[in-house]
Amino acid sequence: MSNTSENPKPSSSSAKMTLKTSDNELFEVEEAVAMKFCTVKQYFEDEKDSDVAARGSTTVIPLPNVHSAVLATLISYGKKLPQSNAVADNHEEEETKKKERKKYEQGLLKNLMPGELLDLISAANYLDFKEGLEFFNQALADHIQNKSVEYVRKFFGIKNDYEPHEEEKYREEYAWAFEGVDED
Amino acid sequence: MADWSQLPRDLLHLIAKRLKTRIDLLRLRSICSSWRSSIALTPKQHRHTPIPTTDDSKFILSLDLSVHTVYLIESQQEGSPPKRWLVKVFEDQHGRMHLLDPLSSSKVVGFDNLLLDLREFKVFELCQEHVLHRTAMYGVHEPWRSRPVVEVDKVAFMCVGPENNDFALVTPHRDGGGGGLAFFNSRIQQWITIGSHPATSSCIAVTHFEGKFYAVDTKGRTISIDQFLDSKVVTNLGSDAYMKYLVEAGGELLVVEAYLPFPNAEGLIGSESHRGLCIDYFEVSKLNKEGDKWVKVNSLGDWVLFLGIYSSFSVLASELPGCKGNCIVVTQPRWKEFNLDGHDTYVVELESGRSGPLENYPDFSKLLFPGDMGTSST
Repeated sequence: MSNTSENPKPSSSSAKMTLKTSDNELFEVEEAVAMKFCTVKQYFEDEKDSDVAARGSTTVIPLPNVHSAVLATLISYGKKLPQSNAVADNHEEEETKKKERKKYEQGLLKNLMPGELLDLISAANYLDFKEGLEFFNQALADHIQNKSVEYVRKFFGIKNDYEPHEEEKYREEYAWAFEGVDED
Repeated sequence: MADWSQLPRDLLHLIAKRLKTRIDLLRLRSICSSWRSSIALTPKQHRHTPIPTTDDSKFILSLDLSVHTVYLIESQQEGSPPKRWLVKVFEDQHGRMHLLDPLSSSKVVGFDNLLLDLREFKVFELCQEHVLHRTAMYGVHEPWRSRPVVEVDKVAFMCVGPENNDFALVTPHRDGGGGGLAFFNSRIQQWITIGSHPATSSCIAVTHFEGKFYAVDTKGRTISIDQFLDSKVVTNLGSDAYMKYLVEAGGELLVVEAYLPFPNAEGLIGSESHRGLCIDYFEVSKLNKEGDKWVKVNSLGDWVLFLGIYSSFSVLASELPGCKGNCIVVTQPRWKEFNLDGHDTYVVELESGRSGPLENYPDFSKLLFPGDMGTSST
């Protein structure tokens, strides 16, 4: 596989941050990756202001809305993204990384259950993890594309709460009504 | 655990934005009432766009751009294999839906009040065809001829600009344009003539492919034009084929040339006594990667080409139940005493060279909606 380390050490401090999930698991994450979670970034920057010795020491950031399994996936995805403060790769390395990322993305989506996808999207939204949100939203859109309404309802586990007379009202949106009479 | 119905509004909105077709958006809105209120319906685009005409056309009353959309729809019924149809639909400026023949784009009549509930079908949007409706009033000096006439022209359409509201058009010049092309950009709102082709040739096929327009004329000259009017002669087919079609298949641009069996066979096309497909054979070429040469193609593989009057499209045979690949479905005008009396559709098997009317190929004929759908249903 690739022999370059996943996170080339940034020239500044290689601070790690600890994130605590809703089920009390601790995740040690490189700053570069954690900063992609803007909520975390905000928290960290707020903490930094108040505690002079914060840099270099581990800060534990609580994420009460995120379960460990979900965070693990989001961190893993975050690591695969191009790092903003990494040394610029040459074209070849960039292409290899891109291909790797695509393979990883495909593998990730293949075994995803609808419930997990919802958790990932909600967590990415809560963490304000833009790239993750875009990716999982698109994955969801791609999946429900061209599928029937029943399939989508089953997929999301949502019940049809329309009364028949209500459905009738909206019918003209999704029905093609061809009039046989040529009025031209 | 996972309760999607509680998905926050703005997230739902973000997901909805990523859906590619309008049909998918409508489907999402039909899921449940709270989702319906969270997802806004974007206005339809280019349903019927008036276009300014050229300055010197005293006879043209109005010019309108219309969109016809081709869909592959599948009905899912318990216990029986899914059935599929190719449907071409046109929505006019009043919001009325019209069913069109997928190849000739002429109105399909006889289906009074047929209602298709899209929620019961899987709907795949295949492609869009654009046409210009030109309402002209000829014979202004003769009152008895003063009824407006609507003519339909083929046009290639391309979205330009980030917002998708701006577009460019290219259409072959009608008589008097010297065989060139007319180009229109919605941002400039003016028609420009392109191409200094000699009057002996005229553009007969136009299409949009990978950000550029392509046009082929009767002599086989191919040019490409981008939205900035940077045009270049791409290559020359060097042929005098009776008819040429431009179509995209599998990410490549193809040109299909239709040859008549012998010179002067064009008379056959206008003759009532001739039955059957007038075309002797078809030759298919694809544009090479560099975009500067047509390379002959021996087989279409699994692709089926549908060559229509105004535009053409391709579908994989594996998407069409029962149909073979490497085939062309083409429509030929039928004349009756110099008047157009409709169209006949033929299927051509490229491998064997055999061809026959659509009725001889039941898998194809029931594909073109309404096919064997039977009598109208309400």
